[in-house]
Amino acid sequence: MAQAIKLSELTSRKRRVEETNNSEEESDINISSTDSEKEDEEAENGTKKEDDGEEIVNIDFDFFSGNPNVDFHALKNLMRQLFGAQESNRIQLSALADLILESPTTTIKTDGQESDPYCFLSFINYKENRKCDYVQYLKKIDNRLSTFFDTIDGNNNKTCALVMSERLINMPPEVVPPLYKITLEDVSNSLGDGKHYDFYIIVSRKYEVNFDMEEDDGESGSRSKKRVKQNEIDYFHEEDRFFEKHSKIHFQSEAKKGVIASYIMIDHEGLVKSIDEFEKEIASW
Amino acid sequence: MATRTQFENSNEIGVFSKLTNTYCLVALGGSENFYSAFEAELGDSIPIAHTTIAGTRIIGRMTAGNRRGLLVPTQTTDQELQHLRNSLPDSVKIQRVEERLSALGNVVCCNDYVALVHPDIDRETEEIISDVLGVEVFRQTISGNILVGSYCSLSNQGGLVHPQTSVQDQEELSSLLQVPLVAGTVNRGSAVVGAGMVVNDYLAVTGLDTTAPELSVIESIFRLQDGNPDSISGNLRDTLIETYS
Repeated sequence: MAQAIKLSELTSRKRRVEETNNSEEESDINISSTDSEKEDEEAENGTKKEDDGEEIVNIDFDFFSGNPNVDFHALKNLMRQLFGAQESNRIQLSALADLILESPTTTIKTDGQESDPYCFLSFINYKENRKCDYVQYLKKIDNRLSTFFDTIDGNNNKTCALVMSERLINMPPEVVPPLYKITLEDVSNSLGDGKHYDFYIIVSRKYEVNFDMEEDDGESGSRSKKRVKQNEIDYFHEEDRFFEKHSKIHFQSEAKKGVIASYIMIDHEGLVKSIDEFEKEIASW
Repeated sequence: MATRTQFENSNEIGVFSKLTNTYCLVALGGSENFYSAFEAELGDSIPIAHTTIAGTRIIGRMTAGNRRGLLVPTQTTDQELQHLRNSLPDSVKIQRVEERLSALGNVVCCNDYVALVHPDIDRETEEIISDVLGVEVFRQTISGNILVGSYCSLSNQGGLVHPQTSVQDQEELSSLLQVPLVAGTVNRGSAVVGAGMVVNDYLAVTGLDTTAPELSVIESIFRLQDGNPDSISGNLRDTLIETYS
């Protein structure tokens, strides 16, 4: 992925890798960052095994708020991954990234405040950004979404948030419940009086388990309806399983090269319940 | 005049296009917004050729050229070469270059008078550049970066180099190139200024993410405020040995 990287940082990154390699033998040393900037920063330890099963590398996942100086390009890349190559051309990703950085956002980074986020979650206030390009895009996707938006527009008491959430494919799902809790707290602080959004629109993706990348699009297109029943569908974002269970509306698009875009409309209670159930599920692993 | 545009959601304009004072190349498959950014400013003054190079759309990075000529890599197909020959004015010499470092846009940074090249290119290629483009060739790095075409954006009026270039290097390069230089970024903090934008004597095109301060630096260093082709650039070149930090 094309990223803006400072050339001076490249040499300092290499130095840091050498340092951690040297200290690997003394694996008792914990290299977690000790300077916490905001009260919502949490350090969670994850361990990754190397291929040969002998080495264990300690990775710290630090939670930060969205940082407009550092995160812009990485957020754009993550959103390009979320929407897929085709759909991302139809959305103004730069405008959306700016919107994310203005809204309550939590990012997860492993290399400190100045590095790129590998995961983010953001709640964008729908009513304040009714005219934005992203909302126009959502309205064109399906009638159910545009009807829902029209209903919310007519109702002065109910509020709605557009949920933007994406992460690198190998992020451990254990980070998701704390991520949601922290960001929901941020939202309450920003809305004031412990208020929360009433409804959430979540855009996510799923995949067909047995999709063969080598087959032509034309061939699979005509048989895609049969295929969906035969093919198992699994979730990129494990929490979607619970969201869909408690959602008011959820639907998905046709499979394109084995990837399916999914849309979920869920209310606040449903969201909180889903996160709790997901947490219990994780505890049982 | 400096404008912003995007090629299929990418801000790297210098990858998908090439702009000189006598012609403009753009990659196939872009949206109308991308082409109109060029057509609106260039109009009928210079031809805009839609092409691929070696079947790819990264034409800005594969080719090197100025008002007098265009150099294309070995992998360029005969049809592409013919198409370029048909679309470009006769005064522009087109030459296919047999060079191991085939991404000519990355290894060569040139204007109408002088060229900086990657330190490792062949002697033959250096001679071809000197002949076809009619420039003085210098093997140089941009503050240690050998990909001079990627980290420097150069016109006859000025140059933009990547942000980590030291003042000493800027002075050295400025005296070689005989134009003022400034270190800066494009596309909201990207250091790859050569690939992030294209420029000639009167037009610069950058990505949509370019911030207003970045754009004003570009307009000032390349002297684009006038909007008209600057016919006195030749005379200015002899007197200007300024550096900006």
